[in-house]
Amino acid sequence: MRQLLKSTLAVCALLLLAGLARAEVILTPDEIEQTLAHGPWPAVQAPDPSNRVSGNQRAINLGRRLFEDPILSRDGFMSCATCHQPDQNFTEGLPRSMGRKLLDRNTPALLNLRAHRWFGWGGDSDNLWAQTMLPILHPDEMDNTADNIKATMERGPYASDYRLLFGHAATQSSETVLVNVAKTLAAYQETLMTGNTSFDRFRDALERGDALAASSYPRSAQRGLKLFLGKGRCAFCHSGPNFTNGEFHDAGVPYFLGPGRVDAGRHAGLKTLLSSPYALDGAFSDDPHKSGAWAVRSVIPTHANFGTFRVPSLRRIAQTAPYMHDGSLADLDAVVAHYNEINTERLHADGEQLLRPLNLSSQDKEDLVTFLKSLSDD
Amino acid sequence: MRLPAVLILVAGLSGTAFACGTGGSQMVAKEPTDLQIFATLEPITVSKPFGVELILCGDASDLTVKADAWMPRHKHGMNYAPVVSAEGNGKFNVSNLVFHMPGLWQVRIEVRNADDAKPNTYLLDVEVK
Amino acid sequence: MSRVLLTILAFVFAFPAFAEKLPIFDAHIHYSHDAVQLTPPEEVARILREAGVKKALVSSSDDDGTQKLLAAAPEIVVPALRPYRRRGSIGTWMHDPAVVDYLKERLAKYEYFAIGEFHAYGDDILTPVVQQMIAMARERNLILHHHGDREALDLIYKTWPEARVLWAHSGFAPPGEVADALKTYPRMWSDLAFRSDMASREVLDPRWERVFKAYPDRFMVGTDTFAPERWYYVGSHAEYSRAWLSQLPDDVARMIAYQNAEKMLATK
Ligand code: HEC
Ligand code: HEC
Ligand SMILES: [Zn+2]
Repeated sequence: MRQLLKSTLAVCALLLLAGLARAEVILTPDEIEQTLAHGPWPAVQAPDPSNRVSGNQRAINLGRRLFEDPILSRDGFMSCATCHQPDQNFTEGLPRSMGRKLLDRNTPALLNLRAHRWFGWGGDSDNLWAQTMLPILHPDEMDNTADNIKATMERGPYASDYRLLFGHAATQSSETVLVNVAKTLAAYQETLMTGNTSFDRFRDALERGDALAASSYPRSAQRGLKLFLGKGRCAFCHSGPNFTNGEFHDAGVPYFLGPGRVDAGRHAGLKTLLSSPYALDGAFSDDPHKSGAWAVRSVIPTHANFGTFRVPSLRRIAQTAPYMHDGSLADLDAVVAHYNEINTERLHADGEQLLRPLNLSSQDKEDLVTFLKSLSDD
Repeated sequence: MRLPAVLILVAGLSGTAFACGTGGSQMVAKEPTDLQIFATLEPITVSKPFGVELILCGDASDLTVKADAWMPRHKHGMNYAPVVSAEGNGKFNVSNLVFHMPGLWQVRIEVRNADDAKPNTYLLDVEVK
Repeated sequence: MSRVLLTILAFVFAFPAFAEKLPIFDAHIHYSHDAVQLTPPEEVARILREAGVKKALVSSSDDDGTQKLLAAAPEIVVPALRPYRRRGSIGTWMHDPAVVDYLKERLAKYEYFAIGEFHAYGDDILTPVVQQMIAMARERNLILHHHGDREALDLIYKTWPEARVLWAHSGFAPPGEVADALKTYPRMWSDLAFRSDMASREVLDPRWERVFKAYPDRFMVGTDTFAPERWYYVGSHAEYSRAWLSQLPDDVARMIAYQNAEKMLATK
C-alpha cells in the first residue's frame, strides 16, 4: 500500500514535470502506470523453500562446477553447459537443440529462473530442481541413471562437497542423491540473473517522477514501449517485471515437428507434471508448508493446452536468438513480423481474443525492436 | 509491484455498503433476488494467487457457492480452479484466484440452494493493472 | 482438488490407454486446406481408426478436404458442407453472395448430410445469404451445424421450425442454458466440441451430469480440428471423452459417445 502511495505521488509529480518536459516523455499517465508494473528490477529474490540448499554458497559453488562437468552424463559426452553455454547467456545458438540427436525444442536461456512457476516450454515441472533432473536422465541428452549419479557422488571428485551438504551418499537412496545433485544445480542456476537495463532506469525515473532522467530513454524505445503496451497487446502475455505472465499461450507458431509428429506443448507438459513424484506437493520438496503446491493441485487441463507454450521472458532477449519453442524465428525483426502478420486462421474462433494483425509501419516495427533491445543489461 | 484492484462499480451501485455490518463491494446479481453478496478482494498482482472474502446477506443457509472469473474482452477464464470454503454465518473465503493478465476481469460467483431451484450468478468487475 | 483424479484426467487427456474402446462418433471435425497439405488423407484416416472414431461429421474450408477424406475413409466420414472456403471468412461470409453459388454448385455435385459448421450470431441469420442457405437445406432436408449464440439459434427455428440443428459447442453456454435450448427445440442436438468444462476438474461436473441425465439422447462429442496440428489431438480427445463418459451410466455414455449422432442422422 505504501508502495502504491509512493508510485501514485510519483505519477502526480511526473505529470507536473511532464508539463515542463513534455517533449521528452511521450507516455500518457495510463501508459506510465502500466510501465511501472514492469519493475522494479532486479526483483528481490527469496530462497526456494522447496530446496534446502537454495542460496547456500557451498551448494552454489558445487552446482557451478557440476553444471560444466560432463561427469553427469552417462559417458562423459556432454554437460549442461554443452547446450546452456555460459558465454552465450546459457543458450545454444541453434534453432533446435542438438543432443545425442536433434531434439524437438530450442535451448532456452537460463536467466531469472526464480521468477518462474513452470519450467520448460511445456511446463513439465513446477520447480527448478525437478526440471534439472530431466536432461540428466533423458536418453537423447545426458542419458544417465540415478545409480550412476550416486556412484559419482560417493567416490568421485565431488564426494566431500556432497557429504558436507547432504551427508554420506552411500547411506542414501540413488533417487535421493539424484534429487540432491539437482538441488545443488538449481542453487547455482538461481544465481543467473540479468541486471539493470536502460528500460529499468527509465521506469525507475518515472516512478521517482524524475522526468529529466526519464527523458534520456530514446524516443524510438518509448514509441516501441507504447506499441508494446497498447496496439501490440504484447503486455497482456509478456507482463510484469520479468515480461512474462508465466502461463501458456498459443502465439500462432506452428508446432509440426515433421511428418506425423507435433509438439503438444502444455498438453504434454501437464501430463509429465501431474505424474511426477518431484512436484511441489510431493515428498521431495523440503518445504514443510508445501507453499507452491497449490498450482499443481489446482491447474485446470483444457483442450486449448494442446500446442501452447510458456510465454518467454523478454529480459536480455536481444542476446538469445533464435526465438520461439522451436527456434524458428532467427531474429527480433522476424518475431515482430510474425506478430504483425499473425495468421489468425490458426486460432480458434472462440479461443482467447488477443492476437490480430497489427498493421505496423516500418517505423513502428523498428521502434518495437528498439524497445525490445532496451531490455538487455547496458 | 503490488497494486490494489480498482473496483469498477457496475450499474452505479455503491462500492462500500454496510449491509450485515461489513464493508466490501456489492456484487451485481443476474436475477433479481433478496440475497446480496459483498466481496472484499486482497490486493491483486498479475499471475499471483489472491483471495476474496464473500459476505452473503440474506438467507444464506444451505447454499453452495462456486467462484470463477473471466476476461470479457479476451474471452478467456482462469488457468487454476479457485477453492471456496464456507466459514459459517454467510461468510465464504475464496482462495487461489489467479488473474494471469492485466486488464478487465469479471469475478463470477454462482450460488445454488440445495434443491438447485434458483441458481443465481453474481458479478463484479475488477480492473487489474 | 484431488491430485490423483487430476492425474487420471491429465493422462486421458494425453494417452491412448484403454483396452476396450468405447466407439466414438466425432461430430465436429474439419479437414481444411492447410491440413490437407500437411497431413495426407490416408494418414488422417489412420488417426481416426486408431482413435476408435467409428464415424465423424466432417466439414472443411474448403470442401475439397472433406471429399478427399471421404474417399480415404468412406466408412467413417459423414460429409457436411461448409459454406465458406477459408476459415478467415468466419465473420464475413454471410455478406458474400458468392457463397450461394458455391453452395449450389457443391450441393449439385456431391451428397451431404448437413450444411455447416457455419458461424452466425444474432441477426446474421436474417441476411439474404444465410436465409438462402437455410432454404437450400430445407429443400434437401439437411441438418444445420450452427456455431453461434442463442439468439441466432432462435432465428434459425423461426425461419425453419422443423430444422434439425446441431448446436456447435452447445453455444459455449452454461449447462442450464443448454438445457433450456434443448427443452425449447426438440429437434436440436448439442455438440460438446472444444469444451473442457464437462469434467476439467476432479470429476464430471455435477451441473453437466444433471443435464446429461435429463437429455441423454441429445448430446454428442467432437474434437474440432481447427488448426492442422490438431489432427494429432484426435486420439487424446477420444480418450478424454471416454474418461468423463465413463462416469455416467453405461447406456447414457454410449448414447453420447455414438448413438445420438446416428439417431440425429436417421431422424427425418
Ligand atoms: C542436449 C542439450 C541440453 C542439455 C545437455 C541440457 N539442457 Fe537444459 N534445456 C535444453 C532444452 C532443449 C530445453 C527446453 C526443454 C523443454 O522445453 O522441454 C532445456 C530447458 C532447461 C531448463 C528450463 C528453463 C526454463 O526457462 O524453464 C532448465 C532449468 C535447464 N534446461 C537446465 C539444465 C541443466 C541444469 C542441465 C544439466 C543437468 C541441462 N539443462 C542440460 C537443452 C539441454
Ligand atoms: C497471447 C499471448 C502473447 C502475446 C499477446 C504476445 N506474445 Fe510474445 N510470446 C508468447 C508465447 C506463448 C511465445 C512462445 C511461442 C512459442 O514458442 O511457440 C512468445 C514468444 C515471443 C518472443 C520470443 C521469445 C523467445 O525467447 O523465444 C518474443 C521476442 C515475443 N514473444 C515478443 C512479443 C511481442 C513484441 C508481442 C506484441 C507484438 C508479443 N510477444 C505478444 C505469447 C504472447
Ligand atoms: Zn486476457
